[in-house]
Amino acid sequence: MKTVLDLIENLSQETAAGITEHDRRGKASLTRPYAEVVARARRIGAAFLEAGVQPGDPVFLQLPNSIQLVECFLGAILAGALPCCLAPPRALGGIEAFQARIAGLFSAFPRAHLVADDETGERSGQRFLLAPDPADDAPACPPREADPEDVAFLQLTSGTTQSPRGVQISHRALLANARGICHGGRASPRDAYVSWLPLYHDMGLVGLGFCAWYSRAPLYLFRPETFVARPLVWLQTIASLKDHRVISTAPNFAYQHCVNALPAEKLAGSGLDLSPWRLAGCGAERVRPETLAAFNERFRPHGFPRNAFLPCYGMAEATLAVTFTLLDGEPREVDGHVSCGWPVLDTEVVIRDDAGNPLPDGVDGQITVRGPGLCSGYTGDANVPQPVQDGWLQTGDRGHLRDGELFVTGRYKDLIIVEGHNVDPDEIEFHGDQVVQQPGCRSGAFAVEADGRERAVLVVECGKEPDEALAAWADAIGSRVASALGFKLYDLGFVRRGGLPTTSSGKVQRSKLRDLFLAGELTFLWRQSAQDETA
Amino acid sequence: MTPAEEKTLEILSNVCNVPREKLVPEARLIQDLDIDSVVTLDLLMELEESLEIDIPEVKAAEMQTVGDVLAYVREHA
Repeated sequence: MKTVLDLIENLSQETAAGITEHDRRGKASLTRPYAEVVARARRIGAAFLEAGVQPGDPVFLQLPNSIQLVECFLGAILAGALPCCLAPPRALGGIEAFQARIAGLFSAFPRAHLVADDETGERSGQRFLLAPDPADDAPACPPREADPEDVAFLQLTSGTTQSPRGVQISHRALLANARGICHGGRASPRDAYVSWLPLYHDMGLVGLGFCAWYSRAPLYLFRPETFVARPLVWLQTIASLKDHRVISTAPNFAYQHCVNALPAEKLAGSGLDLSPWRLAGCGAERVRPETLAAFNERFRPHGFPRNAFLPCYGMAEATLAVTFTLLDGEPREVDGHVSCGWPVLDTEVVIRDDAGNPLPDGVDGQITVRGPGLCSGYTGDANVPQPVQDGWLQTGDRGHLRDGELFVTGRYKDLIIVEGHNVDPDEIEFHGDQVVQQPGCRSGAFAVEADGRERAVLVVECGKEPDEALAAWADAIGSRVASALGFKLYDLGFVRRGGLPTTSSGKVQRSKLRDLFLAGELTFLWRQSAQDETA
Repeated sequence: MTPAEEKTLEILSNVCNVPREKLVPEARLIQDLDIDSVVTLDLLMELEESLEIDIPEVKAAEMQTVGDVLAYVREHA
């Protein structure tokens, strides 16, 4: 296999295994063998070409986790277009932010197409293609060839509404990473994948989707909201696959959510037997030793295998996986940091200082990565530096190696990770700036840890204003952030103009701001903290 | 108030862990009642199951306040 087209061709031979999709309530609603999924994808590819999609055009897929989404994704690749899955509009007030996001995509990607269902497409405010549902006798997309270095699809990464950023993944990178993950996870013919992770997330698309397709293993696909509202459904599905070796991966918060939502008394007498779960990957955000310990304690009595946890480290810029731990070993913890394991196949990790010099074992520095799974660069946002320089991916994450084993300890880049999703601080600051439109006033957003998870703080500069005006601004900013990003700011404060630390060029130094905030050294004119409200 | 609206307020109060008197029509769910993404999805699923209604993603995205939820329920339950 050299390209994703080869992978799809191989998948088309699979008449036994396939995808089982589940409705929002978690009931299996449709099973389709891969041979049929690919046959439909070929017809969908033809429908895209018929509708005016040209090879190389970005095709944004605004569809829920479903067989239809998979078929549209593969269909777009077969047509030579660049599919990219999108997050849904946020429930409870996200409609305007959704429209702004779609408008931002069309402005950054002038050749873009939007594929959606009728209702969502109508509300997007842009022209859209109805997700094709071709008849069985509809024509198939003509076969085409691709070079392994051609871009196969896009993954959206942090970026902002105004400047969305697409990570370009080549055929070569996808296959190298899928091969590396399947090799490290010792893929077997008994494998079955269970995923509620959204396909717009790299871990859902590559780690579970493409790895299942690469190894022609059955995929049990759920909607993320089903897991969030009913976590037991996830565990029961894994338990039901008795004849399989189940692979199911999730960010740290998901394991913590199971522990919080499913107390021991609720599980007593449930008959839950998690022994089929051989590989429980944990990544996409910091892996917390407390969470692994709590999950083990709660679910080991229910058959969760001793060595199933597999902490890993990766990012969309590396297609997905960079390192992961060995199967059948207990996760190793040193000084409160969980080992993220060793580099995947043919991949190197080097820790470097600010000047780019390699650092010795045990010394913290920037994690840099080289290997065949690296992306071909960013597209869309012209203002950011390319992530790969001279063959090395600059991750912006901090960590160290011990005998080749990676420990991630922090972050250099300004990024806020909420429940496994990356949020660019620019996006939060934008809302502060839009509300407080005063000359020379800046704002700074950063992450803090509270109650074992990451939360966002915004500090805004302003001139002399009465408290009532500041309270009204805080309300307006909070409302915009809730609508655009779906969370409440943990802390929102105003300081006098010039109160934020800046570089000589006038850029806000977010990490310094965070240090001042945590040390209690900022003088607030007005402040609203979620901590005070619960106290 | 219809029985469906009455049921909606009961679900809102239980799922969001908010006393009934705070559930005024203009109360914004995320910002004023501080419900997070987990509670949001739990709430929508609970409404769909208990009232036997379907709330499409775009409709859920258009709701912002307690009043918006009640209006949708009034129309569809």
